[in-house]
Amino acid sequence: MQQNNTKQLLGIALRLLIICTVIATIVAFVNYVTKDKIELNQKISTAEALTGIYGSDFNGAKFTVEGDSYVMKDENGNVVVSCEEADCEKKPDVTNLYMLRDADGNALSFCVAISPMGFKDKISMLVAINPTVGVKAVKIVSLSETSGIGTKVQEDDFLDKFVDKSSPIVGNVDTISGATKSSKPVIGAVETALEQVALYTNSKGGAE
Amino acid sequence: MTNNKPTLKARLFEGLFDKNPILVQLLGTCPTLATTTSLQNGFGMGVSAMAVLILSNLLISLLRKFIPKQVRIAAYIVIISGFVTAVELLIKAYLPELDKSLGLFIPLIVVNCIILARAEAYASKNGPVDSMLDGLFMGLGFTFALSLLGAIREILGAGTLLGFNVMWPSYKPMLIFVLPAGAFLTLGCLIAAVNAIQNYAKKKSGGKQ
Repeated sequence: MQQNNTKQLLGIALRLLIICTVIATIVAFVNYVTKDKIELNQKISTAEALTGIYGSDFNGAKFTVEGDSYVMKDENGNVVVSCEEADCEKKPDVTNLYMLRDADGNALSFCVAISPMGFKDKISMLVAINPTVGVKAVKIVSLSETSGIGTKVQEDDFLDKFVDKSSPIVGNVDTISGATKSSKPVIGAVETALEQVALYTNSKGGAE
Repeated sequence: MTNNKPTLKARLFEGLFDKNPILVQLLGTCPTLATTTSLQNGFGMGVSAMAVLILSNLLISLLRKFIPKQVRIAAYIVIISGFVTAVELLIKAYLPELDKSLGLFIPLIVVNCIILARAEAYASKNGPVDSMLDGLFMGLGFTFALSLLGAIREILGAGTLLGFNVMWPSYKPMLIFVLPAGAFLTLGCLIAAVNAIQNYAKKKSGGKQ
């Protein structure tokens, strides 16, 4: 009797294992087909957001994806600005710290990619910072907040409040009435981005 | 001997109206209320769930004699979650805009009770073609209800439809309609309307007899 039960249980486990293997194979195949495209889409979104921030400074030129970095080229195809990831210790929610350099390799600005938790899901945003002045611009890359309420955090009326401000941001920029749970994380993220740049510049001894 | 199998047209009508998973069976209310803030979101969610429904119904039907009865629900969940992950990856790759607007709700299709209900009630007892058709018709009914709900809420709550302004310039959007309370109100009104239409249709057909 005992042996029959064990046999039955093993049979069930084996069948479940086969089902799991079939499903895992299907998911692995779809992942193999889509992973490069997904990575490229994320880079294109970042390039578009970078263009939104810096495009007007360079006659509306656009950033394009080139391998792991982003470059802005002039009409003749010469690189005007390049944006590369800086290697450093990252603060919570910070996904990347980019450094913008001109064609001669001089540092122009920092851009922090940060994803704080919003009301529904993570808000992916870029914070452009000039260390000597403060925040240059804030751009929302993607969000899943409530349409018409939480989505107000991506409007210029709100994001322009951060321009030229330096730390402390929290307390100096008001949350959006009715969208507190979406705007508060954005304000906190700008503060974190400033701290991230300060951490990087201090670690490099202000060399940049 | 008569063949009682309903025609494709009758099954389509059942999925869309008579047995609509949202408006009649009240299944999957959670994603319905959460994602229908706009027509695009409602339609995108409906189509995503429909794809999972068709594929999971097909595989569950093919494996119906192989899946042990004692652990069938666990097996269904594994199959459904696998297809949801596949659909999520495909949306991320080829429809990034839709992925941005639906975000967290795509993975939550796993716990959509319409899919599990159709797996248990239909796919586990019928052949693969019939099960796929059941997934298609129920999915169409789900998409129809979500799109209708999304369109009404977007028009009243934001004054737009698919992002275009459709209301007069002085129209002040009623924000409550993009909030959960507005979702309940709109769904309630739609269910009342469907019930009224069904009652009217019953009376009419009863009168004829």
